Amino acid sequence: MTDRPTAMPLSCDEVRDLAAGFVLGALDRAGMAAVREHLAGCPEAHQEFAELGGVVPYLADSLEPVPPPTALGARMLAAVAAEASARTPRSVSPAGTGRGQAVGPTPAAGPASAGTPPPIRSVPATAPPVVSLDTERTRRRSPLLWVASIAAVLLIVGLAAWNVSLRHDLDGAQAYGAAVDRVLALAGTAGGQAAILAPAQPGGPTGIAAVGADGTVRIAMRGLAPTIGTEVYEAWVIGADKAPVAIGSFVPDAGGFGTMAAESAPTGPGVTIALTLEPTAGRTTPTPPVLSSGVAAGAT
Amino acid sequence: MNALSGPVPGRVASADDDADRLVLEHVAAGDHGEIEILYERYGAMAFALASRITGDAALAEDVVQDAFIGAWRNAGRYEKGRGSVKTWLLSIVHHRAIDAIRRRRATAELPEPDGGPTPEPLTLPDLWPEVAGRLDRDTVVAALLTLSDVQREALELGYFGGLTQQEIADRTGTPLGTVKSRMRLGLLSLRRVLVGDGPAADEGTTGR
Repeated sequence: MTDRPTAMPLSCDEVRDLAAGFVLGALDRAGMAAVREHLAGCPEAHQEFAELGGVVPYLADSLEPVPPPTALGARMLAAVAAEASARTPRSVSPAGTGRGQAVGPTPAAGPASAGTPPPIRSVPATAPPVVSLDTERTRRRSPLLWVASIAAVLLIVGLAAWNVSLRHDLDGAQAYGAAVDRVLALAGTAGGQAAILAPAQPGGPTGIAAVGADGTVRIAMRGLAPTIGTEVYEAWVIGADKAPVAIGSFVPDAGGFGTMAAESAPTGPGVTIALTLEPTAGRTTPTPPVLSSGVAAGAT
Repeated sequence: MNALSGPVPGRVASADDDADRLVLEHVAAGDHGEIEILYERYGAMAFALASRITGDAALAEDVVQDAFIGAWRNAGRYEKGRGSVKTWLLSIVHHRAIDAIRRRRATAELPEPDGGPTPEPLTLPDLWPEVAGRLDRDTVVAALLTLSDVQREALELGYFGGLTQQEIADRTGTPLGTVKSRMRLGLLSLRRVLVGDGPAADEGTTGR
C-alpha cells in the first residue's frame, strides 16, 4: 500500500498512516508526492506531521561531524560565484528597462523605480539572487573573476557533469572535476590562457583547455564516445601559421571523460585548441572532422 | 558561536539560529559569498550525513556540493516558521543523498538504456520546526538508545538507509504495518524523551 504506483488521491486516514514514512523520507517517489498533494489541499491540520516530523532533524544530530575535503568548499563556492556572475547581466536588466544599471549608475525609469535612484543591489522576488554591482565591477577587473567567468561557461557543461556523476560513473566525473580544477589553476597563472572547447556537432564532446605561458597544456573533456581498437583522441594546437601540431593523445574512460596534459606545446596568444579522433596515436596531420575546438584567450 | 565547535551540554540557545537566518537573508539578497559562512558551520554535519547515507565519499561530496548550491539558489524560499536554517540545510542534504542512492540503486538493478532518468531539479524538502531547539549530539544519541532496537532500526533504515517502508518490510521479513508502527512509535518515543511531552505511545492508533 505504501508504494502505490498511481497518483490516486489519498484519504486523510491513509495520509495519517503514511505520516511517519513521509517525514523520514521513507516512501517511494509516488507516495511522497501523493502525501504532499493531500496536505496541500486538505482542510485538516494533520498535526501528526509536525508531531512526528519535529524530531526527524535530530537523527542527523546523532552523527559525529566529518570535516569534508578542503577542496569541496572551494569548489562549491567557485560554482556559486560562477553561476552568480553568469546570471548577473540577465538579472540586473529587468524586461529591458534597466540596461544602464548593468554597466553603470545611469538612472533607468523602470515602472517600479521611477523617481528613485537605481538600486545598487536588486532583490527580485522570483529571480535568482544577484550580486552587488560594485562588487561585480571590481571582480570584472580581477584575474580571479576571469577564471570565474570561464568557470561560469564551464558550469553549463559542468552541471550536466554533476548530474551524470550522481547517477553514473562517479569516479570518472570525480576525476573530470579534479582535472577541470587543474585546468582552471593553469589558466589562472601569469600569462595563462583558457579555451572552452565547444563541440562541432550538437552532442559532441565538450571541455576546457588551458595553455600556460611555458607551453604547458591541460585539457579536460567530457561526452567522448568510446574509442575502438587503436583509436585515440588527439589534441592539436593551431597557431598563427595555421599548421596543426599534435600535442598529445588520450582515450576516454567508461564514462566518456578524458584528460590530457602536455608540455612544451607551441603556444602563443590566441592559439586554437582542437580535438580529433585518430585511427592510431602519433599522427602528424589531423583526420577530419574536428570534434571540438576553441580559441585560447588570456586574462588581459 | 558554532555549536559544532565543541560539545555543549543540553540545549543550545537559539542565538545561532537567529544568526543563521540573518546570513541566509543576506544570501537571498545577493551576498552570495555568505553561503560560505553556512558551509563553515554545517559543512561537516552535511558531509557526515551524506557520507552515512551514501557510504561513498565521492558521492557524498557531490551531494553536499549540490545541496549547498541548491540552498544558495533557493535561499529566498526558506520560511523561518518551518525549522531552523541548519535543519533546512541538512534536510536538503538528506533529500539529495537519498535521491542519489536510490538513483544509483535503480541503475544498478536495471541498466539504463539511454542514460537513465533525467535528474529532477532540486525540490525543497518538507520540514517542521524542531520540537526541542538545538540539542547536542550526546543528548540525541542517548535519546535514541532509549528506543527499542526494532524501532531504532526502522528509523535508521528509513532515514539513513534510504529505504522505503515497503523495502524495509521486504528486507527484514516484517509485515508492512509493523514497520509503519515501529517508525511512528519510534518517532513519538524520541519526541517524548527529548521534550518530555507529546502524545502517549498508545494514543492515536490509526483508523485502519
